[in-house]
Amino acid sequence: MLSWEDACYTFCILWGLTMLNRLSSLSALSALMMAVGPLPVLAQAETGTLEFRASGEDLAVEGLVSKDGWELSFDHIYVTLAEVTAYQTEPPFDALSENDLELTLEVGLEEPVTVDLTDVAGDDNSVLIEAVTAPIGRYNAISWQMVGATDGPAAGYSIVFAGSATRESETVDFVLKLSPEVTYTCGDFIGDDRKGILAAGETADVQATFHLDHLFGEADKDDDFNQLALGFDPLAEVATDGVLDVSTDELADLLSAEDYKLLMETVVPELGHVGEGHCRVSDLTI
Amino acid sequence: MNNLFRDPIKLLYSCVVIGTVWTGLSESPAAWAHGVAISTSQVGATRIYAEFDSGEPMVGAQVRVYSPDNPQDPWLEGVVDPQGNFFFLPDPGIPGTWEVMIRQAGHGRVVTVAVGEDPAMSGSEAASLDALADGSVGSLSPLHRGLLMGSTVWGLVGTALFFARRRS
Repeated sequence: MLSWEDACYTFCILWGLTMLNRLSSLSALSALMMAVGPLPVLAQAETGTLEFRASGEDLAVEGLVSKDGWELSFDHIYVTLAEVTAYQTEPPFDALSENDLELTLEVGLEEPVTVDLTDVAGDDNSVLIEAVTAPIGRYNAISWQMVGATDGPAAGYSIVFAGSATRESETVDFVLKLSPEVTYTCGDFIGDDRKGILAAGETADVQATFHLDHLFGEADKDDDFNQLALGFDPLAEVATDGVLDVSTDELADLLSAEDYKLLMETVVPELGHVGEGHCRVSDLTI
Repeated sequence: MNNLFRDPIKLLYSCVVIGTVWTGLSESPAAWAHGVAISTSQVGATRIYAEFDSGEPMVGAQVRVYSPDNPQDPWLEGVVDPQGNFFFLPDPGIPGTWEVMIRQAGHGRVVTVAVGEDPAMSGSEAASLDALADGSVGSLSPLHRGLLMGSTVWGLVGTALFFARRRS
């Protein structure tokens, strides 16, 4: 289907030629048009469906054994994301480099959304934030802010962990209500599958991934990440009668200064990933 | 302490020999070939060196190479060797930004290798993307815009002459 520009272009040429009765110039124009190429096939904004998803991976759904031996399961992991934006970047954005994100196109969500990382659907243990119609292309970067929820079960907090931890005969039911706000800017998804490649009429997804092992660590691992994780022991020690229901402010009083600093300034801001890929962290507010 | 989280995987890559593919210059790869002289070879390779921040090579890390014309399916798969290296020979017939994904122990990174001409978008492609970003439906090259404007003027002149002839 011709656009108005195509139609005008064609009409003007034919009309001009007819009125001037200079048919001899048709050959010249034809030659010129052949040199230019066919009438431009104007880029109709071909679109597909771009899904914005969040995931705590299998650990959020199946639980994990912390580096200090606590068997953790989660009833809810609420996280609130704002300014969620997918980008087409060229060159591809590398979050670990010093380079700026150079976008050619961006598609974003307007409203903050709170999702429960345990409430997943599908095989990839992710939860749908929102699906939008977007121009086709390759979305190889994503950014989002983790912000305090304004309403709902996580109101006032950016991320809330609710679940239970068991080690031998001891059980702790916990609700960790944390309020740091931070911006993650990430490159391409790194994992078994590639994401964000959107074809016309098709569906593709981009994913904000949260690595719970950076917070609790995992048993039987001794890499640097595990050693730096908080684990669950510092939290279990401040539980009362097997219950720990605390906010960021309360943790500031309950945890040691070292553990609190580790949790807030290092671990929580570094939860955000894109699959196995790391993100650039900025605008941390505790 | 933060640095270990933020840059857990230190990936260095060299494109030194890429230049020999395109320029035909003889260049010694001694820097990465342990002094073995293959300097007359016209076949270059890209070396990827991957190590953890601790300096430990990412031995056995999974490597996937994606060509510019197919970012979905790996063009080549392999693993990092015991020295932390992975070598591959990009197809010079597929110029553009090649991507190399290295993964191990739940962490990974993608590095890019430019092959051939600058893969940056041409002007018309960039304009098209800008138009999409602006929500418009298309774009015209400067030449087409000029033709459109000229044709419009031509048509107006023709119309004026048509009516002028009828009056006369």
